[in-house]
Amino acid sequence: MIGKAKVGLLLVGILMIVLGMMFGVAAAQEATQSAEATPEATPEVAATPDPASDAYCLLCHTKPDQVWNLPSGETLSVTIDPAILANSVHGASSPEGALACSDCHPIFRYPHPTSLSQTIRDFQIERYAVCRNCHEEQYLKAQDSVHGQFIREGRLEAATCVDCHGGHDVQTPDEPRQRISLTCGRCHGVIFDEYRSSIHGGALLDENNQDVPTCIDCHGVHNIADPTTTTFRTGSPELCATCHANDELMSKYNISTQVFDSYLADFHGSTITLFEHESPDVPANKAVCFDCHGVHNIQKVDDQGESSIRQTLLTTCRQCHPDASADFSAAWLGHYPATAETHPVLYFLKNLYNVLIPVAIGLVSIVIVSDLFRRLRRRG
Amino acid sequence: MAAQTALEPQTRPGLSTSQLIERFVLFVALIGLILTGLPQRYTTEWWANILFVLGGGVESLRILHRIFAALLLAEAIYHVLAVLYSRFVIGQGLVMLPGMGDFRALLSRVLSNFGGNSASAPSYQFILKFEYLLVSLSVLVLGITGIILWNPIAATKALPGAAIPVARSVHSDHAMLFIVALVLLRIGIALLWRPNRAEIFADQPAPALSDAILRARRQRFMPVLVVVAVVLAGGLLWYLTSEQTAINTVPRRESVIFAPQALPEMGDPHIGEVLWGTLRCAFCHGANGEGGTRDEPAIRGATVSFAAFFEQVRVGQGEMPSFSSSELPDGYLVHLWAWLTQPQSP
Repeated sequence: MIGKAKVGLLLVGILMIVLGMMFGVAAAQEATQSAEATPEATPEVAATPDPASDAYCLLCHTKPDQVWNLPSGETLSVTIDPAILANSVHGASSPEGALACSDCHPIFRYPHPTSLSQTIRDFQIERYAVCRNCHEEQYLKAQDSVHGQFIREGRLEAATCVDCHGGHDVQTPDEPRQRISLTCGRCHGVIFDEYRSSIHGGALLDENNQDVPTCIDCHGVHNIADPTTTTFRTGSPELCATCHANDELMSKYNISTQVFDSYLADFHGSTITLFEHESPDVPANKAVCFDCHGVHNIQKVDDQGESSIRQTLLTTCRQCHPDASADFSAAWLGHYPATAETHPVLYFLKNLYNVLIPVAIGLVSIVIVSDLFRRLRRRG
Repeated sequence: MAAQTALEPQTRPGLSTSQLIERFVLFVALIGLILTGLPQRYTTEWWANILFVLGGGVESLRILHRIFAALLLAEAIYHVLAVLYSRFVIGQGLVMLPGMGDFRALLSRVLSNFGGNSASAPSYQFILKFEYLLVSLSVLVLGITGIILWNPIAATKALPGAAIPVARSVHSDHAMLFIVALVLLRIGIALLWRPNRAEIFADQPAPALSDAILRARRQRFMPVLVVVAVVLAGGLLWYLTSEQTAINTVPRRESVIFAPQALPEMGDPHIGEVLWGTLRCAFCHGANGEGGTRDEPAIRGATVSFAAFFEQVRVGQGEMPSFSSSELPDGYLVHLWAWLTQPQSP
């Protein structure tokens, strides 16, 4: 009987050991899982953005008062508002997708490489070529322009891409249309003031008139040519004719639709046209449109009285004809054709020869035909 | 075309040496004037471009036109003097000018050609008279209008300014009339009518004068003729060369090209309003300066001084970054400030 009791106790003991081991393993597993769920139990590791991402750049460049002190003593703010870029034409609305910082600043991984630029302007000249990556046509045109030529000559005040279009905040350059002239006026302030006071500039800036020319309509936009050359001058009437020979456009403003034709028919216009076709780079001492009407300060002619117009015209004529008499300006009949009311003598004579020439041809022809008829009769 | 004289050698029946020279000069002058004048009337035609190139350009062509014109005027002066000599020394009448009889002859000839007895109709000598009239009148009209165009400054000292466009129109149109009529007449004369010039002078011969009378008349007439010739030719030469119609080079205008906008005395609120819509200020401060969505302050209607506004923009404050003059020129700031501080209507 004592043997069976020992066996029983042994079995209970084994069972308890097995059960204990089972519970112990489960408790250990639970402890392990709990430890994994509480990282404070492990050392902290900070996450660094990918250097190729905008977040990497903006770690520093969104901080206020970020500046770059150049050797010249100038200070350039490099604090960027990412929302500005996002809302520019290079943001999410761009057909090619939003530009990343590295698209224009490809080698600016921190620490940044040392720039050799001494001034802010040097830096702008150094960096604006990046626009060529996507806008090669416009960039190459700009290189051929008078601005590009000046920059190569060392006149660094000439405009680059960012001077007109901005850097991070590029907007559609012609919306609104006034933006165009205001942009040019940043550097060409005196000319802008003249244009502002002109009939064209006033209509653009005060009335948002879409028909008047802005700076680029006459000077071009990227391939701006030197406007002081003979070639530009000789070709300038064609520029004015772009609008002033347009019947539909001119009729909206009650302007003579024969402005260009009347100029071409005149001595000045026919000569300039021939020079423009044959040798546009040869100087011609004949008046073009802006010699009489002004360059940027064009005013409406009708605003003056008749006598005032004539006096102004005489002053203009005497620029090239210094010995002109007081009535010399009457030689210019204006941009309107002669009528019986305005110029009766000229009108009558033009119509007289329209009759005389056919009459003369007819009379001589009658004599010739009659003689031929006589010869035919004689042969017959 | 000068009248025959008994003392001039005959090198061709009906034409003396001087007359042949006159005809040659007239022919050369007219051809030259036509070739240099037509392109100036029809400047855009393809054939005109060829003539411009051959002439060395439009300016050279005009110089050539004047040279031929001077040649024609010289020949015209000579012819007038020759006719006067013929009239007052030889006693020959102005037989080359057509009269009423010639008009009747023309009408009779044409009617007989069509249906009458052409055998008894007048011969075609009258054609030469009409041609002479055409050339004489045309040289007169073209010469006067040409002189006006040659020297417009001098012309408008005596004539109204409107004489210039009138002269230009008449010169161009009459030249066309002259060319067309002359070409047709010459075709008819050369190919059909073959009029005999000598018969005109045979019908109205000069009176027979003795050598003594001729010598006496010549002695009285020649000094006057020489003086008149010198005055006419010299005067014409002086008139045509004395004027410089226009300066050689159009005066250059002085203009300040690079002029970053300076501070204007008074900002233009209207420009400021337009600028506000083009710059990124509105992005933060609202389309009308009423404030932004991220608590950016409303600044429209502010009573800040320009100096304070200028400093705020240039230096920045708080969340607002600074803007350099290359981003926002001084001139822009004045216009912006004028608009922002403009009293608003209630």
